[in-house]
Order: sequence, then structure tokens, then C-alpha cells
Amino acid sequence: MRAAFLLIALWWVVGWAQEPPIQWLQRAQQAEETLAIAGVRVVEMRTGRTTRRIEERFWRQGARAERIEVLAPPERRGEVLLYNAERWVVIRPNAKEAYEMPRLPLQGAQLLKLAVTLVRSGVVLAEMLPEVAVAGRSCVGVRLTLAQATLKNDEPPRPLFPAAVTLWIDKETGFALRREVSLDNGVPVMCVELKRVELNPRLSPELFTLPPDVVVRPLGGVYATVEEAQPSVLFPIRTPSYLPAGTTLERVIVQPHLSGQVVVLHYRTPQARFSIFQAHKDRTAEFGGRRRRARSHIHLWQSGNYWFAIVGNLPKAEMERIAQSLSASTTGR
Amino acid sequence: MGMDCKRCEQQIWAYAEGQLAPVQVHALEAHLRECSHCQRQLEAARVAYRALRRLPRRRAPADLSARVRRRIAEMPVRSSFGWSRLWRRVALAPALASLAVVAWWGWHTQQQPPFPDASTDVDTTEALVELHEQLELADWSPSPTPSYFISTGYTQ
Repeated sequence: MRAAFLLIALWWVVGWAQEPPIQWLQRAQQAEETLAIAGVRVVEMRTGRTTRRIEERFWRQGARAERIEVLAPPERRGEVLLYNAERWVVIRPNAKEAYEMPRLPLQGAQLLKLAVTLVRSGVVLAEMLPEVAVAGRSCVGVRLTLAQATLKNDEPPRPLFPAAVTLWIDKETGFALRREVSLDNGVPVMCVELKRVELNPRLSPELFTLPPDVVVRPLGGVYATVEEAQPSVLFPIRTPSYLPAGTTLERVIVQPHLSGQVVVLHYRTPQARFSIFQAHKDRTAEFGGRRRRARSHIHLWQSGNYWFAIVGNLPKAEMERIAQSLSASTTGR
Repeated sequence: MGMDCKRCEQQIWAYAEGQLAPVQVHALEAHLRECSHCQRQLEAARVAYRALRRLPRRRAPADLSARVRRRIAEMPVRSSFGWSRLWRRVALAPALASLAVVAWWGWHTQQQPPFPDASTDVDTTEALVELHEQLELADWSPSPTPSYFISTGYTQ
């Protein structure tokens, strides 16, 4: 009898230790949706020669509410991002106005849900990595990689997913304490890590609500549609009359420059992403940086009073076709 | 949030004098509402502008123009050839040439596109690629802060 118990216990322990990666992903998704947690998080993004570092204090009530206070970069310190009632609002210290952010792309739990779906369908491969400690807590590693980097012509479209994502999931709570993302098969280009963790903190409702005398306005600079962006742009926004099948406009960004505005139309297709940049040629804009990688194609040209650029991982022929349709168009749609 | 402090400071005098277009006024006032630094700049500009307006206006004497012309006419005319005058003219040539180069450079710069040809301006090309990749990366962040910063400028 004792031997049988021992065998069952051994089977349970071994089974738990070999919990398949998909179960860890599901635990991470569940923790993201339900766990009350606070701490300090650092986001590092590396593109070209630029590395952006954001440090923030956060308080989360599952997927229902979140408060983020920016600690770094120093010039943005003190800004607060609040999520409540399914909307994100940002506010600066002691300001009487807050700004509502437009629709955000997939984040947090939804990304993990997407990963589970893609692992189940075999589009993404998952493997377990050796345990490591993150923020003083024991974590299991789950590495996700695209089974096939590029699609064949006859394959149905699939959701976009980075070439590799590695998650370090807290063994006790299931919360992902560290994640690394590689857009291609090179080194990670984004790393998000919790530096301090506080489980089940006291979260008062006031933490997630704006002061009563604050007026909420739309956040300028980023828009869901061209129509919404147009009133804040000093020239008619041009849009391409040709777009690859399944293309959706993710967002429109209006960037102020000393010498004129630059409008960015960020698109997504089932297999790629691309951005169209445009500016009025009467106003010269300033850019900086130096090319290091050639992951994306870039196509630059002038048409009438406009300067355009397309950047993305679309085939060159498609980019040229979009460029031709953009040059032929007259005004924004 | 559609404007940064540098641009605000460039427009603040025109704003104090009521010479900005309505669209610019809207953008500048939106920035002023949330930026105490620029509010102080505006206040300083207004104080200086009011002080300038309060300065007494003095009219030039009515015969000033006639007096200047008369003085010029009274100056002795140098008709003889002089090496020193020739030298001054020769010395002026490099200055004029420099001026021409600066003028051409200024005109040429005006003709440069915001997105110059990829083969000639690597920095610009890379900046566009970086912005595109930041947009792509931000989507995979569990925090919305990267998206927010990309949209509003990291250093604003």
C-alpha cells in the first residue's frame, strides 16, 4: 500500500515537473487575467543603434484595472497611465486634464491566449528551458519559436507572431516575470522584466480612478483612422488606393517636427507589417540614426508636393505597387 | 501633447503678438495648458512685449533725410586710382564667393526632402526603419507605455 502511494506521489511530482509548456502558458494567461500584483517593471527596446529604456511602477488588479507610474526616462517621470472601465487614460503630475489613449493592440493576456492558440495549431513551437530566478523568485522558462519563418504561397494566413518569444513564468503564481522578444531570428530586441514583485497588495479603488476635477480629452498624436487624424494635420493625408489583401490600418501617428509634420500610417497584413511615412515638401523634417540591419525594406520617393517612404517586411514588388497607387491618389480617404 | 517645448518657444512671440494661424494657436494652447515651463516663457514674452509697447515713440526729425543726403554730397569725391581701393575690392571677392556658397547651400537645403534618397542619407533611412520597428515591437509589450511614448515622443 505504502509503495503504491509512493509510486503515485512520484508520478505526480514527475508529471508536475514535466508540465507541458502549453499548460504554463495557460497558467500565465490566467495569472495575467486574475492576479493582483504590484512591482517595478523595466522595458528595454532595441532598434538599430537606439535602445529605449522605460522603468515603471505598476499596480494591477488582474486584467480589470492597472495603474502605471513612469519612473524613467527622467523627462517623463511622474506620468501616470490608468486602465479602468476598458479604457486607458494618461495624466501628468498635478494636471487638470487627462488624455484618453486610442484603441491599443493586443496586450498581456490576449498575447498569451494567441500564443496558446498558435502552439496548439503547430504554427509556434514551444519548449521548456531550465529554471532561473527572476526578482528573487523561481521561474520556469518557456521558449516559443515560429515553426516556419516564412509562409508558403498556398498556406492560409495566420496571425503575426514574433520569430521568438521567451517567457520566465513564476512557478508559484504563474505570472510571467520576464519576457524577451526577437522579431527575426537574431538577438532579443525587447526585454520586459519585473525588478520587484509584491503579491496580493492592498489596492484601493482610488488607485485606478482619476481625481474628480480632471477633464478627459482625446490624446493627440495617435489616431485609429485617417479621418480622425486629418483635422490635426496641416496638409491632406494621402492614402494608397492599392493595399495587399487582408491589410488593416493599425494606427495613424502624427509626429511634430520643428520643420513640419510627419504622418505615419501603420498597417498590418496577415503576414507582414509596414508603415507609410508622408510629409509636405514645403516643410523639411529632421531625422537621425544610422542603419545597422536590413530586416525591413525601405522605399522613398517624391510625388508632387509630398515626400513618401514605405518601410516594412513586404515583398519589394508589393511595396512598389503600393507606392504607385499612393502617388496616383489625390487626397486622404 | 501635439507640440514640444522647442517648437512652442519658436512660436511664442508670434502668439503673444496674435500673429499665429488658428490651427497653430490651438496646438500651442494645448501645449501651454500642460507645460508650466512654456507658461513661464509666455508670461516673460508678454511682459517684454508690453514693456516694448510702453516705450515712448520718438519721431525722426522731418529734415533727417535731407540732412543725410546733404552730408553725403559734401564728402570729397575720390576720382584718382588708388592701390588701396583696388585691394579692398579684391579682398571683397572671397567674401562674396563665400556668400554665394552659403546662399546656394541654403537653397539646396530647402530642396532636400524630409526622406532623402536611401542611398544618400543613411541616417534618415535608419530613423524610419527604427520607428517602424518600434511600432512593431511595442505591440508585444505587456505594458502600454512603449506605445504611448512612441506616439507622443520619448523626450517630450
